[in-house]
Amino acid sequence: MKTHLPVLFSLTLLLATACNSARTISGEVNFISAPEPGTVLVSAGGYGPTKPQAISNAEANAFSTLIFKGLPGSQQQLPMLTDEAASRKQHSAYFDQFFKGGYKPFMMLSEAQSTYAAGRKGRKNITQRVKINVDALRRDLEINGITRKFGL
Amino acid sequence: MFRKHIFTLLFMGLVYNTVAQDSKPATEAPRTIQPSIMVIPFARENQDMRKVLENDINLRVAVTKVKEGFDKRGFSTVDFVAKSKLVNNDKAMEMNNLSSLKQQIIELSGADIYVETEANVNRTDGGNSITVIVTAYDAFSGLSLANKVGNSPKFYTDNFEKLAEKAAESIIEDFLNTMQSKFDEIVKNGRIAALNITFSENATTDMDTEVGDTGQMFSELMEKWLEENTFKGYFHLQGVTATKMIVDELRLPFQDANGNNYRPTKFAAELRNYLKKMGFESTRDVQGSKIFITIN
Repeated sequence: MKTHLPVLFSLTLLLATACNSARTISGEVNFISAPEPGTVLVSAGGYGPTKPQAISNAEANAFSTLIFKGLPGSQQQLPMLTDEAASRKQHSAYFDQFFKGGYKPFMMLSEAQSTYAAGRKGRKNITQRVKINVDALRRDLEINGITRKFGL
Repeated sequence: MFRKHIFTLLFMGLVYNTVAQDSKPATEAPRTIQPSIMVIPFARENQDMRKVLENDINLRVAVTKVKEGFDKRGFSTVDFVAKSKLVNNDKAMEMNNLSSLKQQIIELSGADIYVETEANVNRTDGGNSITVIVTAYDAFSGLSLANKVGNSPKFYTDNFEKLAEKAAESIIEDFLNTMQSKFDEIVKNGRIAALNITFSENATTDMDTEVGDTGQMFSELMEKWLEENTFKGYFHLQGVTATKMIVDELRLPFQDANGNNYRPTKFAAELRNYLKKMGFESTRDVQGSKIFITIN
């Protein structure tokens, strides 16, 4: 049994890591336009060993940048949440669920802007055009107590 | 044996995952005290704001669009036209001081914040456009909270209402986000105010008078009180003389223990009560966020 313990430990660690579905967060998100008031259209890059994973990472990147970094050149220049580390820690359950696909109701469009191929460093990536319903996203953040409502 | 442990571990992992996913996000939004906001038209000196608004359709469109922006965030604004009708225009005219009309409207509305909106028409050979300027001010301190300038695209059109709409739409979200970031800062660091403590001519005490048995001077007593009663103990003492204490900046909490708005008048009242307890009679005057206490 003792000989099996390291194997069991490694297996558990591997499973836990896989379950966390680690993402490569990158800043490759650029504002394209605001097609209608309350929406933004961005191009977002995502990396992943498979095409669906790369797409999912690109979409999550778009939302992450809008919420935590802000989009220069748009009306959403300021991030929706100013303290990323504190917010992610305080509302970890919300954001875990959100970035696992909970963002989809606020995504009005997601289409490929480039082909899924290896980049300069050999890592496979894709660029997506993602349209986000910013007003609905803000309301959801407010309802869930993630961000303050407008006012003091 | 090995297989048995694997199943146990997998089962534990599954249970952990299920529990983690079931833990719901916080559903209760933080308590928010809404300041009262009024959108007003920009008027030059000696111009009647209401007349300016009534005579300029582009300005009315811009003001409406700004108000719409607040509505979209679930925020109702105080109506300027309705409030201005309550102000006694004749009185203001008699005073021959139209700029006081603005002050009267702001004071009467009880608005904590007013948003000044301006719309200017630009006619060029390359097309016409409109520039909209919006500025938000804290009514108490006069501090500027947010400013934005928006330009409509240039079109060969005389439909300036549409251009005003475009210009206002191009900045309203950014404007509100900037305002919100200032609100967040106020919540975090408190509201700015200033305090002057002076003595009347008949006063028998001054800043250097020793109070009670402690041997503490009056000024030291005041400093101690400020340490305990300003937000996070923040205040900046500009200077103290025998007859005057100037605190050019102090921070007040934005709400009291009951969750109500905490205004400079409340702070002044608390200071007066404290002075009374210590045996000093005083009067107070609060102008915006400036508090004047005179010890008699």
